[in-house]
Amino acid sequence: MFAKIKTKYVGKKISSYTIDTLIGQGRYGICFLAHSDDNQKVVLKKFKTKMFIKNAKKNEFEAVILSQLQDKRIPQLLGVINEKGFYGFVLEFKYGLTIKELLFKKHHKFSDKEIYEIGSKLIGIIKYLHHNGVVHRDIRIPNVLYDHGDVTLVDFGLARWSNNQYPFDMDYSYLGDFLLYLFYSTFESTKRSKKKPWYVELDLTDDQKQFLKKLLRLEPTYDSIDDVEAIFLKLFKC
Amino acid sequence: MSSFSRSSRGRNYKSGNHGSSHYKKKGLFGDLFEGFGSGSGRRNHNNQNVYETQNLPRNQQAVTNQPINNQNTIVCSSCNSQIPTGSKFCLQCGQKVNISPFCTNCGEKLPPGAKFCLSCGTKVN
Ligand SMILES: Nc1ncnc2c1ncn2[C@@H]1O[C@H](COP(=O)(O)OP(=O)(O)O)[C@@H](O)[C@H]1O
Ligand SMILES: [Mg+2]
Ligand SMILES: [Zn+2]
Ligand SMILES: [Zn+2]
Repeated sequence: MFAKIKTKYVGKKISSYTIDTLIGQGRYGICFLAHSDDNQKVVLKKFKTKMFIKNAKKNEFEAVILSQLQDKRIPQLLGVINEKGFYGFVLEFKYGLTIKELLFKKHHKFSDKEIYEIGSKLIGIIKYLHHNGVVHRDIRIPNVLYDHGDVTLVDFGLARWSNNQYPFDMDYSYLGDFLLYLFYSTFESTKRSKKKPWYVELDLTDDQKQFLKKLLRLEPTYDSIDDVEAIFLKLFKC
Repeated sequence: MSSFSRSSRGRNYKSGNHGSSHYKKKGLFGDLFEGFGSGSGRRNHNNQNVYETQNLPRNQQAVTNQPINNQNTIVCSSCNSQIPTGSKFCLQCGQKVNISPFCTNCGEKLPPGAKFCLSCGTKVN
């Protein structure tokens, strides 16, 4: 499958970009690393054409929301390509490895200090989005890039303008789950510890556990991302 | 390929009761391919791009997710298809749009520098 996609696209010129590598594949499409004639690195996010037509109205949100945001912590929308057989977005390329790659390829163990740094920076990005009315809805380890202390959030495929149907607290729940991946990087499982929940297994203070429980809606959640930020900074500073 | 579904994607909230058997695994099919091929020739330099932060529509109130379809809809000068309000590009042909600021509440175009939407009164940044 990959081999096929690779031989089909790598080295090919799409619009004014030349494709270098395949960097990711999801349900809705494929992401390529590419460069322009003046050597600017970009990501081409190609949609499966059928999927795009089926979801055209939904896909508009990714384009409109990215068009309305401008911040170095999220990729800019640089263009839209519609050539025969290739429909996709051109996105600013962001450096870094995804947290998923760091965890499961590099087997990186995140120190408390790193968790504090990544957590507070990611919360800063969520704050920027929420203050602009955007709920991301897909804050997961493959969508967060980390590069020498810089954190970037990508993949606005599920992002929406927040309203009753799309409340901001969806992002708190994903944030809680995301943070747990970082905490588990230093957890050594013993065979017998299977099936216990994180609040039994992890060595966290009661306050820290309560914070995560509130994010994950095991307890009534926070009112705003500003509250989430204040509590996180207080409880996880090291 | 269509048989792969990303189980964790698109769910509104995460389950809060998982433990090591969940967080120590990288996930099933759905996530299997993400980050593929990223090991070589990719990234790991400091990002040197610096962007100025612009004024943005600041709106924490309920906003509609209905595609805004009113008299303000822009028609692409190149291919004549309708461009969703707020998009920097025509989603049909890719033509760049000069976006004028618009109200995220009702979709009305905003005159340059406007502090409030003239149509619904929503505060602009
Ligand atoms: N702007 C970007 N810069 C660098 N890498 C990116 C960028 N956008 C996406 N990627 C990489 O491509 C992968 C898939 O892109 P994503 O937008 O998440 O698409 P999908 O909807 O298929 O998950 C991401 O997990 C990330 O590794
Ligand atoms: Mg993704
Ligand atoms: Zn057009
Ligand atoms: Zn208005």
